[in-house]
Amino acid sequence: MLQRVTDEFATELLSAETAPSPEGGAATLDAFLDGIGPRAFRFAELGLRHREDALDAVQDAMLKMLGYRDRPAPEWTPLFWSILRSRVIDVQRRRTFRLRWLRPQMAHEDEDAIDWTEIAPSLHPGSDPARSHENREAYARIAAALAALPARQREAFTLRVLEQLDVATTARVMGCSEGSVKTHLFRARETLQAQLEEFR
Amino acid sequence: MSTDDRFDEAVRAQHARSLEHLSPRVRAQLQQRRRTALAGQARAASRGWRFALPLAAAAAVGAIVVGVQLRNPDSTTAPQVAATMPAPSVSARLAHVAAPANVDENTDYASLDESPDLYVWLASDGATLAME
Repeated sequence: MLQRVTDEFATELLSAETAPSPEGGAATLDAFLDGIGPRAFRFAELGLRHREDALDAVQDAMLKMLGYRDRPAPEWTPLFWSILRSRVIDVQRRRTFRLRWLRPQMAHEDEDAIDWTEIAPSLHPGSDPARSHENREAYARIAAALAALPARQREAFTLRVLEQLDVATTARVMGCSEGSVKTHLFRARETLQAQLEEFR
Repeated sequence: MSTDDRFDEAVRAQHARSLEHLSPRVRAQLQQRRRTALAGQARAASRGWRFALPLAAAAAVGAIVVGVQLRNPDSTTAPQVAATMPAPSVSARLAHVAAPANVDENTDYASLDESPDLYVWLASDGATLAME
């Protein structure tokens, strides 16, 4: 079912105009996936809050992108986000079923902290460890606030603001109307701005 | 610049920094998984279900063993004893299991089997006994 829905979204996306993106100019699918990999991981990490599950979801999305290798490169970005979003939802549903029926007491035990590594001063002489720590804390607050949002609001904010997709493309990726995207985005901003006042 | 735009820009900048601080392990995993995906190979079974097949096989073997034992309860170590020794009588078992130290086994337990009072009581009129 989810597979069929994904394919339908993919077909719609192929006929739609796509927004320009940093990865859109990649000449090969390999280069495209190489460029979008870290962003995809952060997206999956926010949705799943588990490092290995996020990596699995990204790998599955990359594998599925092979079927669209022959499509024009500008179409890859919305296609990839649509596939990855569906994959994240699939993992969330499977995990919910597994934890509810088999291990209810472990529902939140295997959630990881965000992946973050300090940049070694020897590699980057200009880097400030204290500043780096502040950045980590700030991103942890953003990630926690995003993770607490309803899934649709989180997706709308992530795709529209962080990935800078336009409203029409975001709507097609999320499988809803443009009005719904605006509503979800408005509510997400409202909640996030209340929780993250230091960024206002 | 509106409040929303400032907020979006600040969060976007922090997100961009987070991409620079991905751990080497995750970066290596992403590279490896990208190569695997481009080679057309699906990933290995997820961690949660990796041990499902061995566990199911072990459970099935356990269920078969229990089932076989329930169908044939005498097939334990007991048959070897039974083949060499006759089964003790009921009175002998009672004597072994429940006899206190100060009881004479030969008289007291034997009287349970042969007491004439029991047969007298069985043959008597119930009303008469009640009157007495």
